[in-house]
Amino acid sequence: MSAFVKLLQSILLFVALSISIFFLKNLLPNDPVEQSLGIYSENEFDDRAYSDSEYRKEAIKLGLDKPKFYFGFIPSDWSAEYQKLLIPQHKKIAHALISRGLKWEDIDLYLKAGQESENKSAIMALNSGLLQGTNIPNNLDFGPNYTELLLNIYANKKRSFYYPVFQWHGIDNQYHHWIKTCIDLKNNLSNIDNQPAGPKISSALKWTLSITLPTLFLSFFFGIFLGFQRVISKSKIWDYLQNILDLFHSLPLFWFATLLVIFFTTDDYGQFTNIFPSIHSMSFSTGLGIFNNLKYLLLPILCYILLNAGYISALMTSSLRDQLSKPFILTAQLKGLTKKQIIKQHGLKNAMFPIVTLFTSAIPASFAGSLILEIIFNIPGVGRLLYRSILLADWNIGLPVLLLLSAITIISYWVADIIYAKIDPKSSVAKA
Amino acid sequence: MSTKSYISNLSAGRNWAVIGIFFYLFLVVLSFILNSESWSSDLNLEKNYLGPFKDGNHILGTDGLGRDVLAGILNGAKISFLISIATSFFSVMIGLTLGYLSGYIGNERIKSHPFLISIYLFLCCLWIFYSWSSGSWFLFLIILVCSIFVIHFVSYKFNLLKANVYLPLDDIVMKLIEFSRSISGIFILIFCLAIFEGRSIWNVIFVITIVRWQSITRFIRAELLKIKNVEYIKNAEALGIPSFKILQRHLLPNIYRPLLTIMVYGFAVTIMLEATISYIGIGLPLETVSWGTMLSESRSYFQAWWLAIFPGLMIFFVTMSLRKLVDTTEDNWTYL
Amino acid sequence: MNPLKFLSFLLLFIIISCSSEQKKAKTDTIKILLPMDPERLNPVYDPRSIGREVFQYLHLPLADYHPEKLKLYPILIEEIPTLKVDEKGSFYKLNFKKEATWNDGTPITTKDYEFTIKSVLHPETVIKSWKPYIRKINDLEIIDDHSCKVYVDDTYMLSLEITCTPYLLPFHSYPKGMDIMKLSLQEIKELTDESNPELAEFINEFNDPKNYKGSLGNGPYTLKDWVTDQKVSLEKTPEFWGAESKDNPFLAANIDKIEFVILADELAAVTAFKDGQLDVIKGLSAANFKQLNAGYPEAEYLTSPSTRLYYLALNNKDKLLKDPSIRKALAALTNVESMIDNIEFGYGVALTGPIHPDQGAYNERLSSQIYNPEKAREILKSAGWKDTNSDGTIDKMVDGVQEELVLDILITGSDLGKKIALLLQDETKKLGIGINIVPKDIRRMRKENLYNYNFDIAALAATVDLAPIDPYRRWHSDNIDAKGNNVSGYNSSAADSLINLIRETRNIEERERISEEFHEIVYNDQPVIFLYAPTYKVAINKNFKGTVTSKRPGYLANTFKVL
Repeated sequence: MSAFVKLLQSILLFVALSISIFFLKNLLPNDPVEQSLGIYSENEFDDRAYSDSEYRKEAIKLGLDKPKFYFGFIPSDWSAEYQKLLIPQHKKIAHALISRGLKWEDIDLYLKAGQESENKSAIMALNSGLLQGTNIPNNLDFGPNYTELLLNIYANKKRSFYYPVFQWHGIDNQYHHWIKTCIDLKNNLSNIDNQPAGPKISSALKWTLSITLPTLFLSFFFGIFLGFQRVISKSKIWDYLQNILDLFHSLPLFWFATLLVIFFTTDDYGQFTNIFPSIHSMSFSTGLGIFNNLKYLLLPILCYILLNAGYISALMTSSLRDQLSKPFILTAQLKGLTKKQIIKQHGLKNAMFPIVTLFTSAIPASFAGSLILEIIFNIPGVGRLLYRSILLADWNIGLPVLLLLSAITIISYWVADIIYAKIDPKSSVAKA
Repeated sequence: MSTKSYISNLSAGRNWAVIGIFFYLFLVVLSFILNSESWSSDLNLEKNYLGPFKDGNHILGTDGLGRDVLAGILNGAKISFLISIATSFFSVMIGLTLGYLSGYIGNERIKSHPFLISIYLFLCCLWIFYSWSSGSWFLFLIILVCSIFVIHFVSYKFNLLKANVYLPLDDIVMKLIEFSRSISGIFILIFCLAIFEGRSIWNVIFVITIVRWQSITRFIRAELLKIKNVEYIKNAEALGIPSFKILQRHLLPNIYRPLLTIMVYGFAVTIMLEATISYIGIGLPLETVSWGTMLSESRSYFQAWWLAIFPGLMIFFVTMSLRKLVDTTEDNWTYL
Repeated sequence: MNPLKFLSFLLLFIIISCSSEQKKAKTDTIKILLPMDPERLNPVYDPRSIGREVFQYLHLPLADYHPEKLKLYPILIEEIPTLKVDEKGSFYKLNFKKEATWNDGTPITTKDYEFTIKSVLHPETVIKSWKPYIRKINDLEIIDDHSCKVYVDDTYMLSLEITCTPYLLPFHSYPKGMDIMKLSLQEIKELTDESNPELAEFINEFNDPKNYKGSLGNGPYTLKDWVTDQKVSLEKTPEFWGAESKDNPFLAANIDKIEFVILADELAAVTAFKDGQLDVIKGLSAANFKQLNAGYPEAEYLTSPSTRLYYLALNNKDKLLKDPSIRKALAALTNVESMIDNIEFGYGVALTGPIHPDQGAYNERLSSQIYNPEKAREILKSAGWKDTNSDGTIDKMVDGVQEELVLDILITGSDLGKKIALLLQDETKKLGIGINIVPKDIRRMRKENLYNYNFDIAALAATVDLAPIDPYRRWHSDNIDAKGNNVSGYNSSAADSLINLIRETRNIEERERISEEFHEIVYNDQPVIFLYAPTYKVAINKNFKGTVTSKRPGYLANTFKVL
C-alpha cells in the first residue's frame, strides 16, 4: 500500500481513538464540574455543600450544556429540554421515568417538585426506588398539585414506540472544543496545576526514552550477540548464560524490581550491597552532569535487560538454526565458503526476520513495562504522567500522551515494514 | 509427529520442567481437596505477621491478617489455574473463529450484494440505538439476529439480489487487530482499573482475554494462510466436501501442535499477567487470596519477606517449567 | 565494534557512575517527605491539607492554634480579641502588628483583611470553601491601617475562629482590587448571581488560574522552586519581619532551606530515609514505622495524638439497621483493641463516641470495652434472628417480609479499609451475619450511595478540628439530606436538643458537661461504629531536633533545630 494510504489510515485511527476516549471518559468516576468547583474528597464529607444552581452555573461555564458530538440520533419522544438537564441525578431520574412511560411535561413537573423542601424525604424515597429499580413506596403524597403525576408514575406504562431522529449539531459541540483544547500543545494548560502541557510531556518523555531506548538497544544487542555465539562457538559458557537468562525471564517484573530496590540500594543488608544509588530523582536539567542523572536509571535498565534478553537470544538461536538447517547452506559449504562467510552472507539476513518483528512489538511493550518501573523507582516518566492524568481526568495531558503512544506504535510498525522490504525484497510488503 | 515421539524428543533439561508441571498440578488438586478457598481466608488477627516455621499451625508463616501463607499458595495455584484455563479457552475460541474467518476464508470467499450488506449494517446501527436508549440490549439482539436470518433466507430463496461482491473479511479482522494493538496496554489496564467496580474472577478473565486475543488470532491466521493453498486442501474443496469436514479432518490436525505450543506458552503468560493485575488491584474479590494479592500485600510490610518470596518463587517456578516445556531451541539440527 | 570491547566499556561506565553516596550532613537543608504533589499553594484559594503542609511556612493567618497549648495564638495581630458590645452590635477589635509585612516589604494592613473578606464573599469569585463561614460576619468597620472592628453574630459559637483564622490576600497584588473595596459588606452579600459589569474586570483578574499556584506570602519562608511531582523548595525569607520574635513558633525559621521531596511510594520513602536522602517522614504505615524504629537507630521516632477518626457509618434509615439492637450487635463484633494492637502496632487509641479522648468533653465514665461476641449473639437471639431456612445466614420477619441479615460494606480500597472489612466479615460469619465487601471509588461512593442514604455500612474517616466541638454538622437531624453531613441519618430529638444547647453555651465548663451528656446519648444509640484514632508518627533524622504536635500536619519544621 502506498505511503499516502497508510498515512490516511493512521489519521483515521487517531480520530477513532479520540472519539472512543471521548465517549469512554464519561465512565470514569470523576465529575469534571465537581472538580472545577473545588470539591475534593479525602475520605469524608466536604466542608460545604454546593447548591444545584451553582452546579448548573459551573457546568455551563465548562461548556457541558452543549451537545456532545457533531450529530446525534435522539429518540423521538425526548424533547430538547433533555439537553438542559445538567445535574447527573436529574438525568438518571428522567431516564428512569421515561422507561415508565411518562411524558416530558410530567418529568419536568417531577423535577420541579424535587426543589420544594416539604417534599424532600418523600422525593428521596421515590428517587431511590426509581434509580434502583426496586419497588417504590406506595403511599407517597406530595400535595394536591401532583396527584396526577403520581398516578402516572405508579401506572408504570410501557414506553410507547419511538424512532431515532437525526439531529445535526454543528461545530459548537463538546467534542470539538475538547479536541481543540487538547491538541493545542502550546497554550494547553493542565487542569490540575495549570502548567503548560508541552513542557510537561516533553520532560516526561525525556525520562522515559532514557530508559526505553537504552533498554531496547542493549537487550537486543546482548540477545543477538548471545544467540549468535550459541550457534557459532563450541564452548558451553554461552549455554549456561542462556540458562541463567531463561531463569530471569520467568520472574515477574515488579517483584524483581522491588527486591532489587530493597537489597541493593541501602545499607540494610551490609555495606557491600549498597551498590546502587537510592531512588530519588532529580530534574533533568539540574545536576552535576549527565552521569549523575543517569546513575539513577542504571538499576531499572539493568532490571529490564536481565528480564528480557533471554527471550531475544533464544529467538535468535532458534531462527538462526532454522536458517542454517536449510539445504542452501549445505550448498554454500560445499562451494567452499568459510563458516563466517556463510553466516554473514546468507544466514543472518533471513534469521533477522523474527527479530525485527519482536523489536517492533517490543517498542510499545516497553512503554507499558516502564510504567511499573517508573512507579517502583520513582522516575517521572510518561507512564506515571498518563496514569495520574487519567485518574484525575486531566485530559489536556492524557489525550496527547495517549495519541503520542499510539503514534509511536504505528510508526514502529511502519519502520518494521520498511526493514522487511529491505531485508527480503521478495516479501509481499515490498511488492506493494 | 505423534505424541510419543514428541515427548521423547524432549531434552534432558525438560525433565525438570515436566516435574515442575506435575508439582503444580498436584498443588491444584490438593487445593480442591483441602478446600483452600475457605482455609486461605481464615483469619486470626492475633497471629499476624508470623514468620515461617515459628508456629506449628502455620508452616510458611502468616500475612497481615493472620491468614496462612501455605493456604494462600494453594489457593493461588487454584486461582491461576482456573484463570489460565478460562482465558486460554476463550482466547482460543476467539482466535479460531477469527483466524478461520480471516485466514482461511479470507478476502475472496464470501459473497453478498452491497444492498443486503448495507441493510445488515443499518439493522446493527438500529440495534445499538435501541439498546442504548432503552437498556434492554438482549431483547433487541434477538430481534436483530432473527431479522438478519429472515432477510438472508428470503433473498436466498427467492433469488432476489445476486451476490456479486466479496466481503473482505481478512482486511476487516486485520484492521480490528491493528486498532486494538495501537491502543496501548496501559490504557486498557487503567480504564479497567477505573471502571470495574464489581469484583469477581470474571473481570480478570475478561481483561486478560482482551490483552491476549490478538496474538493468538494472528498466529492462527498465519498458520491457516500457510496451509490454505496446499494441494490436498484444494482438492478437497474441488470435490465439494463441506467446509466443516475440511476443518475437522484437515485443518485442525495441522495446527494443533503449534496451537498447543502457544497455549502452553500463553498459560505461563497468563499466570504472570494475573499476578500483575492482582498486584495492581483490579478484579479479584477481596476475600480471595492469590499469588498476586500476596505479593501486593508484601509491599506494605517488606520486613515480612516470606510474603514476597514464597509466592514469587511459585510464580517463577511454574512459569519457567511451562516455558521450558515448549522450548524448541534444542530441536533444530544444523549443517554447520 | 567488537562486542567484548563494548561490554568492557559498558562495565567501566557502570562502575564510574555508581560511586557510593556520602551521607553528608548538609545541615542547611531539611528534606521532608510529601506523599503527593500539593498542586496549589494558595491557602485562600485552596485550603486543602496536602497543600497546608507546605504553605504553612509561606503564609500566615491572623491567628492559629498554638502547637503545644492548642489554643488560639496571635500571629499577625497583637492579641486574641474578646467579645465587646457597642450600639451596632457585638464585635471583635483586631489590632494588627505594625511590624508585619509582606515578603516584598509592603506592610500588612487592614486593607488586606478587608479585601480578603470582600473577595471571598463575592458570589463569583472562585473561592468556594470559605463563603458560608465568612458570611457570618455581619459588618466590618475600619478604624485605621492597623485596627478594625469585626461585627459578628454572638450566638454563633465559632465567631472568634472565623474572625481570626483567615489567611490574607495581598491587596496590592491585585491592580483592580479597588473596584470591590468600594462596595460595602452588606452590598456584596446582597449581590445575586448575575454578573455585575463594573466588577467584571476584577473578577477576571481574581479568578485567573495562575493565582491558584501561589501568591505573595508573608511567612518565614518563600518558595524558591517547584518541580511538579518531584520537589518543592523553600528558602528563608530575607529580612523577615518576625525574625526577632523568640516565642512565636509560627515565626521561627531555624533552618535555612526546606525541601519537600514528593514520593508516592512508601518503600521508596523508607529506603531514601535510610540512605540519608530524607530527614523527616510523617505518615508511614504503622508496620513500617515500627520496623524503622526497631532497625534504624540514627533517627528519632516521635508520636502525638492526631485528630483523625476512623469509623464505620451505619445507615440508620435502612430497614434492618434502624433497629438499635442490630447496630449494637455489630459494634460488639468489632474488636477495636485487637485492630490497634495488630494493624496499627499499638499506635492508636480506641473511640467510644464522636469525641476524641484527649478533648475535654470526653466522657470517661463510658466503658471502652465494646467487643463482646457473646453479647452480640444474645442480642440477636433475643431480637428474634434465627436461621430458619438453613442457608447459613440468620433471618427474621420484618414488616411481613422475610429478611436475611446480609449487609454490604463500602470501602475505598485503601489497605486499612480492606483489613477492617475482612475482619468484620470474619467475626460476623461466625454468628450467621453475611457481609459483602464492595470497594468503590470515594467520589462514586459519595454520589451514588452516601448522598442518597443508599448503603448499609461504609468505612470512612473523619478529621476533627482543634476548634471547640460543634456536633451540629454531623449529628443533628437538620443535616439529614442529600449532601448534608449527617452521614448515617442519625435522628434523635434528645441529641438534637443537646446539640442546640451546646451551640448556645459560651461557658467552656458548661459546654463540656453538656458535651459529655451528648457523648453518652450517642454511645447508647450507637448510630455508627466508632473504631479508633491513629497517632501521628514522625521519624526525624538525628541531625535535627524536632517536636511533634496534635495540630495538623503533626510537626512544624521551621521550629526544628540543627544539632
